[in-house]
Amino acid sequence: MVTRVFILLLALAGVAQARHTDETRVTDYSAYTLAQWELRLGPFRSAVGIFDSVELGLNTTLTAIGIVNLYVKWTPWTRGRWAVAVQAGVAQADETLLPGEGEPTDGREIFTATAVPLELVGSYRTEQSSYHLGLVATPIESSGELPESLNFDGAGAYSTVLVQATWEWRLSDVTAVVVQGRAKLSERVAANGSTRVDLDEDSFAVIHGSGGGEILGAKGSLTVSGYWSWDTFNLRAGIGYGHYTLPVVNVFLAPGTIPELAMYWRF
Amino acid sequence: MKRTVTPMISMSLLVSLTALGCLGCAEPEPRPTPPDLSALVAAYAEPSGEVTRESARLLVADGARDLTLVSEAGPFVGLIEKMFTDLAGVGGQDNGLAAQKSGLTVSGVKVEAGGWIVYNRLCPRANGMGGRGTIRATALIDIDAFEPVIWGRLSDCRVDGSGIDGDLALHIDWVDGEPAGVIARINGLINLGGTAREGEFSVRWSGTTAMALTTLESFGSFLVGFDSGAGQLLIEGSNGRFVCNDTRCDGPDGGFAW
Repeated sequence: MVTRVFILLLALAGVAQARHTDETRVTDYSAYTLAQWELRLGPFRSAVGIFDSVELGLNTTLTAIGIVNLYVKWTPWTRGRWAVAVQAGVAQADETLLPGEGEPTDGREIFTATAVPLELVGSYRTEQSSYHLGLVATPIESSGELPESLNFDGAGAYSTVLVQATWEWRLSDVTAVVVQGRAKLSERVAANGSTRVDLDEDSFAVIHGSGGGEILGAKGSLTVSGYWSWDTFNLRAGIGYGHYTLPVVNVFLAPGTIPELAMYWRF
Repeated sequence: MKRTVTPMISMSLLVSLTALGCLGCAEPEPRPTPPDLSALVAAYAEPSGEVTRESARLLVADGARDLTLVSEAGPFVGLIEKMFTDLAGVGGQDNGLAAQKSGLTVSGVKVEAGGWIVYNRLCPRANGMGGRGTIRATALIDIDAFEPVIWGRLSDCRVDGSGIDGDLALHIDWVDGEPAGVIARINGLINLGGTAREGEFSVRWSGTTAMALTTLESFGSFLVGFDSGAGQLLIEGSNGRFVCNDTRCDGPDGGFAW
């Protein structure tokens, strides 16, 4: 099946739409978007240009496992070598994705987590290099009710703000080197919860806990990758070190070696 | 590659982005705000009226109604003290909910948090008096103790032929987790031992002493009440506490009769 899809994609690749050229700029970390009706298909990210300055896309893997997600990216401003874009997305998962969990049968509202990544990115392009600086804010909020058996009604929130700087150095129209750094500006957690305690037959107390705070300490990462762009197929592979951030939701993980991998067809 | 702005969609996109962004505006649920009892606490701490022959005579005669309310408030004081015991029990349990105050740093997290307890109790059964009424109160938790103000409502709450239907606010001096002194303010319909009034009534109790704040026109404010342990009628003013009876008071600097 995978082979068939691969062959189909290669067949679709009749019209060259990739290469590291001024016409087909990399859209991953930049202020650039796909051109109108230009397609990008890949296991990690797929997108379509619905206008020359507006791109609509999703994370393919998250969609495949049932996490609804979508983003829209818009480049409202370009002047010569400069460009600025904004991107907003939404990703939502609920308790039915957990092993052994189905739709609640006790009439309660299903427990759901929603992430809303927002990004502002500016790009500067020279003949051989591009420089990109992005600010990414990702609030994540949960809602709904946990099963009554847990006797706990709660909601939580987690949000990050990070800055991302990328240098793309094009060695040819096929090969580029990408150096990318990410640094945390803010990481906040918040939670509300309540539980009922029956004291005797005539009385009970509802205990409310409400907490939040800023997670202290520096977090970030640095990666170096090769970015190959053939007529339609694109591959980015590299390695780095630091706190990996989960795609779309931008949750920081513990520090370690970070693999960098992206592959897609663009046509 | 053409790079153009699309004005027709720009405004709707901006609106959409703004709407999406607000999905994530969650912060900890704000703690309830207690009523401000600072003026009441100050009034109890420093009554303005001077205890003299004339003011004491008027207080013993005209303050009889306040004294009756104080003396009949016992069952409700018992109900409130039962609440303190219950709250201490709940607060001492490990319910898995952190109740920390702002400014702490725990395990790399600068904590901005707080907890509170909403207490609900049915009032005692009143013989032949229909429903039982309820007491509902909110107590804020400050690290490992309760904050001074607990507030809520007594809804048609009846005990031993007395009844209260009104807002309740308590100021408690906590010492080692125990209520060393309590000022209670009730605003509503109060019927204690057959003496009824509608409006605001307050009482302070500590140990065996219960005192009510009362005001005499042209004299100022006083505290009148009882020490049930010593069996004494007490009047407190700006010049100290006096032990009185129907015709005489004795204070720090001597006594007087009328």
